[in-house]
Amino acid sequence: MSGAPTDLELRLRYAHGAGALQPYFDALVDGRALASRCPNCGRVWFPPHLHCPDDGGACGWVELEGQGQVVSATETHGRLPLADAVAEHVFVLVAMQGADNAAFGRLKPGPGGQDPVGRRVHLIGISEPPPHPAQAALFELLEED
Amino acid sequence: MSAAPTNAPVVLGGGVHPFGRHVGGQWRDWVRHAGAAALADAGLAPADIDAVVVASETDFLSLQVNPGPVALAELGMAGKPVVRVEGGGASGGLALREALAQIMSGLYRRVLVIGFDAASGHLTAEDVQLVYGLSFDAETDGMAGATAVALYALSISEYMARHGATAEQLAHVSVKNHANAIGNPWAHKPMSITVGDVLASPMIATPYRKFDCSMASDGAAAIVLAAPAHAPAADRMRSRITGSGAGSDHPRLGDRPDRHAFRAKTRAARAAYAMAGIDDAASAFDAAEVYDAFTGAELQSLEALGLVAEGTAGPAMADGRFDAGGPLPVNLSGGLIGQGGVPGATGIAQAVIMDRLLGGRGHGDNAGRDVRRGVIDVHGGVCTNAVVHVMERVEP
Repeated sequence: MSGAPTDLELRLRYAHGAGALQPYFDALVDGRALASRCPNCGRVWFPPHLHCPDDGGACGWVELEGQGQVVSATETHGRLPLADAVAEHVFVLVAMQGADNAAFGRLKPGPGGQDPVGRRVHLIGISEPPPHPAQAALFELLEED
Repeated sequence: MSAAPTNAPVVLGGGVHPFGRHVGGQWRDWVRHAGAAALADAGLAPADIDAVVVASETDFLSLQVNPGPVALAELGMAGKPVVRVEGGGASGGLALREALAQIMSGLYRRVLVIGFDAASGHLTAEDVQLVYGLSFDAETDGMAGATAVALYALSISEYMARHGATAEQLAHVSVKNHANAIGNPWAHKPMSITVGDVLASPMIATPYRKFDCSMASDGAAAIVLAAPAHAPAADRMRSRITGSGAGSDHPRLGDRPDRHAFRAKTRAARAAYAMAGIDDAASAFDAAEVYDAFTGAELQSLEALGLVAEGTAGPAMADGRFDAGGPLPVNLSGGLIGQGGVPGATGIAQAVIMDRLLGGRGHGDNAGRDVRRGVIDVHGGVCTNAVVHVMERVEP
């Protein structure tokens, strides 16, 4: 048995910290790709891990050139977390040059119509401070492609 | 003869509060209904239960922190030991595994496992999507905009590019599972649709369209497990859980060497099959309940479970191999796509469905179906953590 629902709006305000990943996020907003390298296995992670998820090695910071290749893409629409506007988005996984993994991010809106998979991109950062710095994972197709 | 452990728990009974969109409903009512149904099916009273395992994915959905004792109060079991288990979409399956461990270790004789979530009629779909976006690495991916459908889409896109799977093959999963849900009294979305209907439905995140996606549902499911020595005699066929395995993968999809495949599930399945004494999964089962959060996820799951060779699930699906009348029927319940998705309850509902099939008590046309051994499977994230169970028939 169900009655009329009560309309509740829960507002939560977090003083949310990035912890040891703060340097990565600071660089990301600037359009720089700060990765980490495991001293044991040599794997380079972007986004970084402070400790290698495969062997637990204490990783050190390493800066990449900021370019990579799109390995997967999906077109969708919706609202980014904490954002006001609904928009079209192309979410991508990018294998950054010099990294052994792939990074989740968005493709800067462009003319569209062409499959970005396999194309080269670069990290461009973001001018307006985003609600969360992870949203600065914004890539742009390189013009020579 | 089964090579499974002799102390493999017996399923005494199960019950489900129908999955659906229960606007204005309360999870406590669903838990009370499902729990009472499970106890009645088992022929037990609350006093016969030694302990309870409760599963639910997130308190953002229910608005109830520490729901275990609240559930006990609803069930007339206040004072009993209770533990809450959470593992995203795998929550129900992990709760089942927790109960299995409690019984096989000798800690308890009879355990009630109960799972619930208010994933449909409570929050808006957009807010549920936001909460579920935190199911992955929330810092690097979730807050960057990753949603469940976006990450699953990125994974299946790589699968399709690698193996040549088509949108039509994916659509067959939707057609099959929606049809299987017809006659299931617990199902959220039973309906008869065509491949053309799926391909004409609105695009959500390429390549996934609306009918490729499962629904977030409200509901609850419960099951009673017992050590064989403490299972009351029965005059009907029962089932027992003869294998259990769990595994995990990198929470960031981009960190995985094989982004197109569900390696956590392969790890879980291998462990479950080893425990059950199964060498060849492809020929071991008469039915499977598989985690089809999206159509492509069913293909990826079937391969990870070893039920079909890697890269071949798409053509096998289109050929009807996994249809209700095929050699290995998959998701006779309708799966998440047809029955609905209640993260805390899905893994438990799968066990209830499989118990009914093994006992000859399946719904509709499945009544009397000759199922002797089945596999059930759930996962959280984009198969970030997985749990697989093998169930077998027990003659009276």
